[in-house]
This record gives sequence, C-alpha cells and structure tokens, in this order.
Amino acid sequence: MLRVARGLLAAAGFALVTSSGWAREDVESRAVEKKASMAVPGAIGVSRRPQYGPCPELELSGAAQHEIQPVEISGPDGMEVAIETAAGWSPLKAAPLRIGLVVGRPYRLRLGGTAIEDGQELFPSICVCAKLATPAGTAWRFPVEIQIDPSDISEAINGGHVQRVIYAPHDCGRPDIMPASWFDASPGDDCFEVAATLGDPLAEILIGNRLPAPGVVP
Amino acid sequence: MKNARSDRQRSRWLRAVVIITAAIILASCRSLTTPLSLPAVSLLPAAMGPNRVDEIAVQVVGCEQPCPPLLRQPLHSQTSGRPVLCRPLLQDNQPCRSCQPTDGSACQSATGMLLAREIPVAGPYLVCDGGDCLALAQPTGASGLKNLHAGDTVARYHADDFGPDVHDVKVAISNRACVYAPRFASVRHITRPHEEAAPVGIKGLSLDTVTELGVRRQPVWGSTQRIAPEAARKALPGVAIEERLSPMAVDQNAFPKEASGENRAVARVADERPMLTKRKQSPLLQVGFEVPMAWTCVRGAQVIVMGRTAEVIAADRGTATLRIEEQGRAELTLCKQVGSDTARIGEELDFTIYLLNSGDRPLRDVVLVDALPARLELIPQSAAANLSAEFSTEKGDDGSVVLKWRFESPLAAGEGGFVRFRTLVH
Repeated sequence: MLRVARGLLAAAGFALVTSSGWAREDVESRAVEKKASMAVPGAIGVSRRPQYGPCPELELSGAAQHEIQPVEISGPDGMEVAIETAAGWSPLKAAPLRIGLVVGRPYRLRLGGTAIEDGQELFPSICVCAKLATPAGTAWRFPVEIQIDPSDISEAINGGHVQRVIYAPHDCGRPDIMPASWFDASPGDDCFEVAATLGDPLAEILIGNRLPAPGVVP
Repeated sequence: MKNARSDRQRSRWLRAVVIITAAIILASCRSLTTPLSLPAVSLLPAAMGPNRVDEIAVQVVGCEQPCPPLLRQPLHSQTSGRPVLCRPLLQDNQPCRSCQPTDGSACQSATGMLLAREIPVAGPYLVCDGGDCLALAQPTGASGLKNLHAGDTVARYHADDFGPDVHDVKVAISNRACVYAPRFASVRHITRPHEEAAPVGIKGLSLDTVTELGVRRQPVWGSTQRIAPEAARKALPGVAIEERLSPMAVDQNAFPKEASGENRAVARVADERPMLTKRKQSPLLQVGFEVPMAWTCVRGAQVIVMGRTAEVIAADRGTATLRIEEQGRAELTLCKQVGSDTARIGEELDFTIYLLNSGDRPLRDVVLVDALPARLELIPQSAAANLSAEFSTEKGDDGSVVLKWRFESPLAAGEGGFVRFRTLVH
C-alpha cells in the first residue's frame, strides 16, 4: 500500500513539473493567435516583406558607385520626408526629396508634415529595383520619380497597407492611358506582375507602418 | 534484516529523487526552448523556408546605425561550408559597422555580394520623331499623303521640267531623331485591415460593411476571413470560418474561363503586348546619340569607280561619303535635327527639318509633313520656315497631329531650306 502511494506521489510530481512547460507553450500559442486577430492597424504588411535596415551604401566602395540610382520622392503639399541612411536619419524636409539609393537595398522613410492629419507620421520602406540607362552625365537629371498620392497617406493612416510599384512603360512614345499615370491593381493581381507586363519595374514603396522599427527611433 | 530493509528504502528514495530531477530538467527544456525558437523561425524569409539554414547570431560592431536585420540571401560559412544566415545581434548603445559571426566562423561580407551581383538596367526610353514607320507613306490627290502615323516625317515632290517622269510623284523620308525622355507610372495595391470586412448582417447572412454602404469596393482576395479567426468566431460562433465567406467572396476562387473569352486584367494587357513590341522595335534599332560609341580602325580605303582608282587624299581618320550620281536626278533630301538629346516631362523640344534639292533638276509642289508622336504637343505659333510655305495641321491616319508645309515656289537644283517648330513633352 505504501509502495503504491509513493508511486502515485512520484507520478503526480512528474505530471506537476512537466505541466509547467505545456502551460507556457499553451499561453504562447494563445498569445500568437490573439496577436494575429488583434494586430494594430497597418500591421498586416509587417509580415509581408521584411523591413530592411539602413546603411547599405556604407559598404560600397568607389567601384560600386554605379549601383546608386537617384530617386525623387514627392507627395502632396505640406508633406515632409526624411530617410535613414548610414549617416542616420536625415532631418524632415519638404518634399520633393532627391537622393541616390543603392539598387536592390531597401531604405526606411519617414513621412510627416501637415499633409498627414493630426500630426501623425508614417514610416514607409522603399527599394529601387533597377537602374535607369541614362545618357552619360544625366543620371541626376532623370531620377526615378516616386509620387506619393494623398490617398496613399489616408489609407495608411486608416490602417491600410499600400504597395506601390513604379515602372517605366515599354511604349515610351505614347502618353499614359491614365491621366494620373497610376492605377489600382485588380484584386488578386500582383503589382509587380502588372508592372512587368506594362513596362520595367523600377522601384517599390510600402506604406503602412505608423511606428518606426524598435531601436531605430529617429 | 533491518539493514537490508533500510538499504531498500534508501534506494527507493534515491530513485524518486532521480525521477523528479529528470522531470524538472525535461520541463525546463520545454519551457525555455519554445520561446527562443519561435522568432528564429518567423524571421526566415519565405524563400528560405524549405531549405535548412543554420542561423548564427552575429555581433555587429562599428556602425552608428543598425545593419540590415536580415540579409535576403543566405551566406556560406567558411568553416563548415553550409549556408549560414547572418543576422545582426544589436546591443544597446553599441554602434555597429560590419557583420561578424560570433562563433568564430566568418560570413562572406555584404560588400562582396554587392560587387558581385548584376544590377538590372532599364531603358533607354526614347521618344523618336522622323522616318516612316509601319505602312509606307503614299501620295494621294494633288498634295496629300496617306499612311501617316505618329512619328512619320516625309515629303512629296516631283520634277519641275519636261522630263519623262515629270508626272511621277516621289516621296522622300527623313532620318529619325530620338530624345531620351523617360516617363514613369505606377501600380498600387491596398490591403485594408480586416475590420472593414467584418460581417454586420443578421445571423447566418454575412455582409461586407463597405459593400453594404456602397462607399468603395472591398477587395476580398486572401485576407478577408483568414486574418481574423477570433473575431469571426465571436461574431458567429459554431460556424466554420470557411462557410461564411462574404457575398463578394463567392467568386474569389472562380478563375476566368479563357475558353469563353474571359480574361483578367493582366491577360488583357498581355494581349496588347505584341503590338507594343512591334512599335518598340523601330526606335530601339536606331538607338544612339550623335556621339559615336566606337570608332573603327580602318587605316585606308581604296575606291575604284568605273575602273579608275581614286587618289588617296587622307590617311589618318575621318568620314568619307561616296555618292554615285546619275544625270537627270529629281531628288529631295530631308534631315531632321532635335535641339536636345534629353528632355523631361514638361520641357520644350525644338525640331528643325532641313530639306535640300540634292538632284540636278528643279522640284515643285513640295509638301513636307511631320506626324508628331503622341508625347509631343505642338506649341502654337511656333512653326516657321525660311521659304514661303503654307502651314496647316491635320489629323493623321492614327489620330496623330500632322504638321504640313506646302512650299509655294519650286526648289532649284542645289537649293535648300528649313522649317522649325517647338513641342512640349508629355
């Protein structure tokens, strides 16, 4: 009888101690589920594409300067733009912002100013996909023009995740069929696929983050 | 007897202690490893998921700003040769400059990757005017030309004497002048938060809030239901999520039937590509600015015409033009020049078309036409000519704006002139 009681006592102790691990795992799984269903607005895009960090041009030598493509970021009146580079966050300046970016390397942006309601800020990421074949000496005369529409900002402020792919149309001799030179992709269509059908994708901008990444507060 | 019993009891307690200790160790392993392994898995890009990639924490030193938190391509460890994912381990108040693994092995530096990779180059994007693309222009009527398309620059004329071909109307074609003028467009996609698509209808009938209000169309692909499992369960307990798709989601899996002519937007656009490609070919074949890209190294040339050898007048370098001229030619030469090699949208471009009677007979009824490309808009009152000519504009066969100069006086042999006009780049 005493042996049975000791055996039961040992089994109970085993179950008690091991259940602590299960409990933690269970709590964490529920936390993940809760996070998935109650994520803050704008968090959808976080899992879509990794938000890369800055300072890629720091690793460039002089021979790699050809990888830099000038871009010009413009937006509605009152919008201010800052970018995080190897030198840190640039001060917020009124758009348009013209800067050279390394092709294929994403950068963080910071949008502020009176164009965004209630003094809020957005932290988009931008990546240049290709370099323009400009005539010699005219690279800065022809930057990739990235136009942020006012509706992009309002959608991001309201919790949406905006993906905009800038491309150069194949048929350069014709004016754009769209008066605003941009359009919304159909539901289910990939922006890159549509852009590659119509031209050469040059850059991508993702707008949705309303908070900077941890540790990179400007 | 007593000693044997006490030994047995001692061994039982010893066994119990061993069992409890093992249980504690086992439980601690389960509870500690779980949270550490979760972010490591979630940080891997989707492209690396199926592959086995060893993750090594990387100490980052010397940079004032953090390095990229995750490099897109797996690097290779120099010690093991296996793919290694270099991830910087940021520390508080610790500047970082380069990525170095902490386990003693060395990752290939990102600099090497940057230098080794190929940079995709797009373009050049040219706006060309001149030549005679698509169908050849043909004279029609007393002073007309048909088959005029955007970019065509041609002239019609005929000899002004009593030769045998005096009634033959000829067409001269100009060269093609190209300008680097890129333009940009964009495609946008918005993923809206799932809260907008929460059902508000009566139980059993799910309605899309935005659709019901008719404010704007709510995209239903992919994310409408799956992102909010908990909210969906609360809204309609007991019913599987898959069974309560919104009304607009009914056909989200119904792909268009290509056999019956249904195409998606991309497919419709793709159908237009052959036509676009055809139009794209002509300018690209004549890419080039006025600066030659390469010189040939021909040191000398010997020309024999009618059995006679020409004397060598230059042996260094230069350009030689050999013209074999017949007597009694009625010929008009057109040369088009553009004021700049590059243009941005909104800038002005000026064009000059020179015409020269390069034959030895006078020409009359000379009509010069230029069908402007769609991206060029004529600036009013900018057309001018140094010869007396009647200027007018009309529509081309493809709707393009056609500039037309009808010269009033005949062109004597060797006589020339020019016309000029300015355009706005769109």
